[in-house]
Amino acid sequence: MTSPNPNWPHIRQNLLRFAHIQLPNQPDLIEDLVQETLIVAYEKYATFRTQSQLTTWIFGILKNKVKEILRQQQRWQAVFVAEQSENQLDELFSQQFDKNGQWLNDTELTDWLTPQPDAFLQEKQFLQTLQLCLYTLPENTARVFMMREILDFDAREIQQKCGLQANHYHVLMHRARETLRQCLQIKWFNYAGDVS
Amino acid sequence: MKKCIHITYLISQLQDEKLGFRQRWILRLHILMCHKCRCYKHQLDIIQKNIKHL
Repeated sequence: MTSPNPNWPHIRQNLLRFAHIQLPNQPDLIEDLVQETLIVAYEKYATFRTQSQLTTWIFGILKNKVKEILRQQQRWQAVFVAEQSENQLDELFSQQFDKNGQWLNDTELTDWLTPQPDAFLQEKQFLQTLQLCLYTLPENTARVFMMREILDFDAREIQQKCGLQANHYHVLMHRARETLRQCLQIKWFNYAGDVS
Repeated sequence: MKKCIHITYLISQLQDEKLGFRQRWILRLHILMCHKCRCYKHQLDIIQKNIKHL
């Protein structure tokens, strides 16, 4: 079995970024969590065939640690009113519709063809692009979205613990999904023909 | 017919919770008739499916 030669600084950077979004204002805790995660990973990394398998596994360890900490807390970091960057994203979204709220004719929406499961390299590149897009989200939006889709918390629990009204929560989630959609369209699907 | 801009919010909301009976029907009928909203739903489904693999 060929073990990967992990890019530890890059992995550490990604782990820190994820933990910082979920546990803002707790830098010491974040450092500890990431360090514990990397120690476990360092002991076992040779058993993995590829770097992507390894990073998915490492990320899974940190995800569980963050989830455990959030579960112990009664309240989570409050979500603030829209930052300027969030307003800009909303404007970009609105620009795709006419004054009646219907899609503009020149707004192109197509059926996306995702990589086949056996196209390993292509699938890996697709996920890397998705991750890249995820980290371009404004912090508030990213935090709530990741709580739901990556940490798998229930929508009601997120609303309750972040002190979010249901409407505000749905606006945040819609903004996150729309931003990811546009990002993937630009960074991946506009070039999909070139990748295969 | 409900506006597409509002339908995109329902499509997103559907990924987080079960919609009420009326909203479900509005969405279903709209998607049946609107190609762009159908594509939009397909694209959000792909994002949700793949984000779990990160």
